[in-house]
Amino acid sequence: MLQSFKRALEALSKPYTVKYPAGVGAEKYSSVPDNLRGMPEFNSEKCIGCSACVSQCSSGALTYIDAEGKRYLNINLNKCVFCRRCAEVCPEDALTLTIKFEIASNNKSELKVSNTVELSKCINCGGYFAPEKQLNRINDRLMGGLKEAKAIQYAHDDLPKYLHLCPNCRKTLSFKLNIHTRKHVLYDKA
Amino acid sequence: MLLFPIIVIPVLCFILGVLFNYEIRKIYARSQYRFGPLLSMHNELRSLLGLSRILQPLYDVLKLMFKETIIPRSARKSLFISSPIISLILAVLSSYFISYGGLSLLADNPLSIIFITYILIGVSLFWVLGGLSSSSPWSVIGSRREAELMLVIEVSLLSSIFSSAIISNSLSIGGIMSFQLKYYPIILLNPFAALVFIIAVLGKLHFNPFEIPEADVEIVSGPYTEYSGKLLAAILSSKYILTSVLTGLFVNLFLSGGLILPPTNPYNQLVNFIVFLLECFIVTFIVSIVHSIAPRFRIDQAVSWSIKYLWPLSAFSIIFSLIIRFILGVT
Amino acid sequence: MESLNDVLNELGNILKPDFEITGYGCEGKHVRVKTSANKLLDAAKYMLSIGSRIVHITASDMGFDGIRLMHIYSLEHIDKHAHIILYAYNDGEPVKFPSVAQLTYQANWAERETMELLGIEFDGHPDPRHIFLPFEWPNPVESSSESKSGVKQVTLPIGPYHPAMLEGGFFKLFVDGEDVIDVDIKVGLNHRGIMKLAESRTFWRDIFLVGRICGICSVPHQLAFVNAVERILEVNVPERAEYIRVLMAELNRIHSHLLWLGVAGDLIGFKTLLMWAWKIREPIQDCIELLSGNRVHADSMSIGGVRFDVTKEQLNKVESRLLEVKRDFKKLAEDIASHSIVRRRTEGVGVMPLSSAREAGAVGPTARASGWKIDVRRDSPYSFYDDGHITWDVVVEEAGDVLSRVMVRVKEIFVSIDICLQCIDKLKSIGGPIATSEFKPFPEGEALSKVEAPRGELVYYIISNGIDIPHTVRIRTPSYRNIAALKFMLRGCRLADAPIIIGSVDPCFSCTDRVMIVDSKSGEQWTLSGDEFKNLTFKGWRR
Repeated sequence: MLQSFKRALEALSKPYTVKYPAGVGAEKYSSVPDNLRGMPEFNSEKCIGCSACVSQCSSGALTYIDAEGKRYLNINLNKCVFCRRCAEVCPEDALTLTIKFEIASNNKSELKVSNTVELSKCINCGGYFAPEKQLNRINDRLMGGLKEAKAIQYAHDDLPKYLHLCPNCRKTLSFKLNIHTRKHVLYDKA
Repeated sequence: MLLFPIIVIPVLCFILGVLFNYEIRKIYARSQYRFGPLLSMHNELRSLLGLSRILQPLYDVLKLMFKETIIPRSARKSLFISSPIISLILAVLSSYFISYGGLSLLADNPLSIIFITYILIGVSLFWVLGGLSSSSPWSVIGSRREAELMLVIEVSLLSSIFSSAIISNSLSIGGIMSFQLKYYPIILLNPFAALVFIIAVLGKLHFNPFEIPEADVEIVSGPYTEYSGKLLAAILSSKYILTSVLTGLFVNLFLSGGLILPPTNPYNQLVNFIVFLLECFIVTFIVSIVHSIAPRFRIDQAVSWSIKYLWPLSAFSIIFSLIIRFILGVT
Repeated sequence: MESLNDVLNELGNILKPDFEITGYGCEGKHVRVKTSANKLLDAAKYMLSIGSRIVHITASDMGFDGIRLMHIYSLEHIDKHAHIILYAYNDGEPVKFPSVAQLTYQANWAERETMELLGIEFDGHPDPRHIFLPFEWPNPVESSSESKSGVKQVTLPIGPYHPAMLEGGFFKLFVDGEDVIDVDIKVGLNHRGIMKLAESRTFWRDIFLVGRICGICSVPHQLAFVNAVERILEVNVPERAEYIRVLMAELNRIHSHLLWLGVAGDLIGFKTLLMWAWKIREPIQDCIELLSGNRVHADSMSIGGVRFDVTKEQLNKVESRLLEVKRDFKKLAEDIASHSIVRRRTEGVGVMPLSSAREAGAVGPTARASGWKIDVRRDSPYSFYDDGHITWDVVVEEAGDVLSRVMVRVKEIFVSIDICLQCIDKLKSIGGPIATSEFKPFPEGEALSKVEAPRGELVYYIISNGIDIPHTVRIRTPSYRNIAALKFMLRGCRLADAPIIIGSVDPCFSCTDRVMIVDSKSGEQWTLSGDEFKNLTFKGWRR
């Protein structure tokens, strides 16, 4: 018991807790490691709206709604378990988990992280089907992979038109005309 | 003119109790590497929380006054309500017999030692009765443990008080203090009695290792389980007053009550009062450190440990006081 | 000592003609044997006679074939990793199987759980009450004060709300003054239906689900799940990933034992020990946060590897913190072990001798404190705990009281720190991928995996039928066994010792659910019948 007595006397002048949220020692507390899994955040320029993150979310906190020509991606922070699967699978590194962890709030609207991307219209039927940025990105990736000059020449004009057909129209048109849609686009220069 | 001390002394005792309780919480927390209630609040939170939290124990009691007082249906209502109130009255009564660095009402009464021992027993007794009337199994077990603990602790408390009375040949607290002013503080003459008194204080105020009746992990709150609201505020206040009374009693009996200068002029009286406060703070410091480093005894271990070590020591301290008195030649 | 094949041959002789080996797992050491329902009792008698342990009894609905009941026996004292999974199908309304609980107490709670979750009836079970639902289901719950012998008693409920319980538990202690006479245990307050949830989500989402069964032992749950899935898929985990897994698992063990030490101190009234032990625990939490990004749920496992890599800088920081913890904890452990009042409260209290430990089926530090040398990391080594990679010792104490359980955990902290330092050395020198690069569709199959959680042996059994959602996930947590074993420890103790004895088995109610102890005293005036209790609760409060 004597050693406990000595330890208690030693401890009198060395408190280990720090004053929070401000004051002496707060700097020590607020230095969290860089890979802390805190509040998720969208990078609006990089996000292409592909919704790969939505399909991988462990808890169903990430959802998307297509309405009025836009796609709204929402993260409900009440359900988020901060597991980082969404950031892992994002192809464009547009979703990161920041180090912000003080996200308690009185206001439910502060507990929603969202991003909006524009949807593009199908050139045949006029319905919204995919985000514009995603189609542009596919275009860039495909063009970047072609090497033959002739393919590049053909693809350069046709590819945007081909990509801007919604899947239904692609199916119905290729059935109707009995040719590959891309050839249809080549012939029908409208 | 008599009205002034009658009102001021219990209030002073209560405020001192609040301060001692603050010190106990602060030292307890500091020995555990944490801060405890802050003596001076840091700047960013001053507007919210005030300058200092030194009156935190007082706020705890005041908060309870605004809460609902729930009385269980199957409790014996008369005893349930009156027990905390009577224990508070008895604690207030006992505060009159202590001399606060010279300021006192009844400390010079020739039989003050006898009065105060009876009253101190009464305070604990009414806690036990309050627990028994609560009709809850936790309170019953807590009261049983408190009663067993009282049996072993009161004997030691009595023997140390009477050791001090024997050496100074006086049954009044004022007389003991003037003896110490003339000769030496009794803690130097009979340190065993002082040790026994400290252990008895731990037992009466339910500090570790004698926290048995209030063990919150085993029996929720012991005798106080069913109390809430104003009645719980009464119990807590009686606890604060009892803290201050027992600490003051120790200082009076063993450390000459802060009387280092003869109380002839106000300047001397002020010095005495300050010395009294300092000595009380030192005693509370020791109590708090022991409270922090010892786990709780089991009730049968407490009883057997007391019978094996504490009672022989108490008997020895009485014999020792007789020897000291014979050597000193006090008549 | 026989070998696994001898045991199988003998079993074949006893059970013929209903004996068929249907499959192997884990390089031939997990043997799946099919038999018929009426031969299960003979098989159990034989297996218990050769000293095997019942690991778990569970069942799964296999559709047209009926309900499959599985008995998992461990033969680790004969051969490492050796298990026999004996199963039988049965159909009918209701499904009936013979009960093994009449032979040994180990199977008692496992069979009650199976009865509850799948509606099977076990013939001859000595205590066929509900385990998760209230005892009186479907009748309304009454607080009955009648004991089994019919004497009027005072009930002392520890739980569901009690300062001693951090989670929901219901202990009903039958006491007489300060002596406990008998104990009744009820779990189920924290039942969240995780096994059912896991059977409706994909394997990838399940990793995060099982990591959140318990906040303290989050890493072992994920590790066991991922090991089972990897056994079904037959993928190999790269070396660097295995060392990272061992590092995360051992950091988890250190933090769990330090947390428990603080809680045990609180239960004997030594709140200061709680603060001191948790102060030493802070650097470990910082290490876990540094490596994985979160202090509690490390979420470090993925199927075929780990999710993040560790850099040299991080490893250096972790190493310096671990050495600091080792130095500080050595001093604290010496202080506590020589503290006279702590010894007085824990020595000779809640004794469970070796024979009771075997009968009750205790696992983990609770069993090792009674002298029984079982440890999953040595008997069925997973990850890199075998001799080729890391050297370590199993900690065993003899006395079987609360003090031995404290000392087992204290010594295990030092062993774990040592393992962590070895892993850090290895990780600084070997490189490689952190996850496997093979991709396969999920085949049909089933697998058993065991992991040593801080509280004992954690068992996962997964059956997959070819799609990406598991068909059956069965979890048996170590607290399930240890809380059932409390019955043997609480008899004859004192009331003041009950919290520390319950705390000494480190019950994780999130992993288990409640326990109920009923306390009773004879003939006093505090007899509360159900109606009186209701009156008190609803009408009795006045201002």
